[in-house]
Amino acid sequence: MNTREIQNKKQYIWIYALVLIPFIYFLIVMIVPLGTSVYYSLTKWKGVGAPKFIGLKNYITLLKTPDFWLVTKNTLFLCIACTIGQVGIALLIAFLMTFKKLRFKNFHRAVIFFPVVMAAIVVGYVWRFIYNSNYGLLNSFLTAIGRSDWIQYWLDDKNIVLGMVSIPVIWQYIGLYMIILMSGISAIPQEVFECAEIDGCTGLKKSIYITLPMIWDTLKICIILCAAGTMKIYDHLVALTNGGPGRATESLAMYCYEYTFKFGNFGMGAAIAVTILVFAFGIAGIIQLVMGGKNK
Amino acid sequence: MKKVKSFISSFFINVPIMILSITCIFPVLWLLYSSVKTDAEFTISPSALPTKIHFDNFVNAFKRANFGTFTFNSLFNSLVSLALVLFLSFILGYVLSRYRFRGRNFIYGVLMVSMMIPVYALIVPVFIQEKNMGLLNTRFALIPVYVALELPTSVFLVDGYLKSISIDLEDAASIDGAGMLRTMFTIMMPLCKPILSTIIILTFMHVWNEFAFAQVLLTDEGIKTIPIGLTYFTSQYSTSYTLLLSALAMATIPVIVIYLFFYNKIMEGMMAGAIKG
Repeated sequence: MNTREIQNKKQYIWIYALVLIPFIYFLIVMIVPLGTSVYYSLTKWKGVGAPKFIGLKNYITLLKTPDFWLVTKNTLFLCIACTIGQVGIALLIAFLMTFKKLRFKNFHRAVIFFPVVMAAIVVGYVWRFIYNSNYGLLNSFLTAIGRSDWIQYWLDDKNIVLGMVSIPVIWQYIGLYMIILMSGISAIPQEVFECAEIDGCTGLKKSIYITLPMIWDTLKICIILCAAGTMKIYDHLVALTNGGPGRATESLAMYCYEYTFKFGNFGMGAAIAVTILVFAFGIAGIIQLVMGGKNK
Repeated sequence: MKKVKSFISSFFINVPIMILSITCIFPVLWLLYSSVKTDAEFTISPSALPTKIHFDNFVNAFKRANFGTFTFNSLFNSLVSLALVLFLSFILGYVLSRYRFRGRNFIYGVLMVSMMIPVYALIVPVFIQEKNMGLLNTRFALIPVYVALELPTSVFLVDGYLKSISIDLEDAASIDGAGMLRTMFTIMMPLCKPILSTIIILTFMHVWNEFAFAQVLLTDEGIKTIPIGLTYFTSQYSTSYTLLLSALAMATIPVIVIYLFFYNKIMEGMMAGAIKG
């Protein structure tokens, strides 16, 4: 290991000083709010004055509100759709990228990754133009190919809107998971592939029986990151629909924002924030269980 | 027969990816060329190329909608956060990577777990905390948050990079009498330039694009950033599509330029485990 010995006491002090200043700063900004939000979620508080301790009442009210369940359902739907869409498509592409027959690999990699670095809010607005019913690219494309009967009010129809908003989110982050999975594949020793090829294992077979088990851990990380990350979905929805029509595309994070800053109910807002965290950790735990431990 | 089969398989490998690539690049190109169209042109055919290049939209965005102020604020936030992230993550990454001391594993673990937290759940508590500290709605409201958001990833990047560099140079320096700080900043920091530049790019992109915290922590018109400015555009100038498009294009052009120039660095950062959306 590339480590150095600590020579004397003075150095010890320096090391602690250098480490603790940034670390304590980090704790104050990121971890302390985590603790305080648990506390505020147990209080009745309007943002000013002293918080009044009311126990689990916020959570109970929350569980009794039908809107909360609607919003949770929306978020979980987006979570599942985005995980399957993003990681699934990314996995397929990462496999295809290992094939010799694929051309322009570098071009594809650069282009598919680009949306990842765009601002989520810009992606949301651009897709709003695509879906727009009067000037939308999608509707003019459908007219151009002669299927004007397929034209819909993409973002105004309650039944399809949730699926429609998941497409931009999936579209944006395919590249991210593609890159992570590709780096996982590139870490597999070349001999493994050579042996497999000598034994006559090529193409799709090679992907499923050799590559997939070898990148299982990377895949697991991707799924956890994606599922836990989608729990906090916010920017895209603000730009695309702002939660509408009604609450059909509102996510938990937007619900939290609404309670806190529109209704001024900080205790409730904190309770929703804690709920999001619990969901995120719960989902990560479930995936960990389902996909097996480290040794698989 | 074999040739036909091989043709078909290469067709099925190439075509779907090509279609995906086109759908990835087309909306971006469309955004860029539509932003130089006039409103009339846009209404007639939203997907056609512009007949003449108009920069009026860009000028209007600056004149009528304070886009200059938003740009300045975004740049200010990005640059100050960048400087702090670089400095703090290098120190922390260096010490964590080079020395073994009590509590190291704990610090390591906290940073690791915090990468998995969906930080946006922290918006309300961070808001409360900033309010208590009196930071809310000031020019420095966002910077501490951004620095903390970027810190774990950057620390792991530095840490991982230093693992691949031998300690011979540092040992030689200390034999020659250089103290720890001197070794760290004058010898090792220049050596870490490649990874530091990766950190610069990733941090810049994240801060430039960040929306949720900026929306919550700032209400004052004069200190808002570009992403917030964009929502303002849609509500104020909803009649002029091309004006909004030009604002979107302006928010995206710096990102495109950086992407084109530093593509390899960005990939390196992503591959090195900078797995944060």
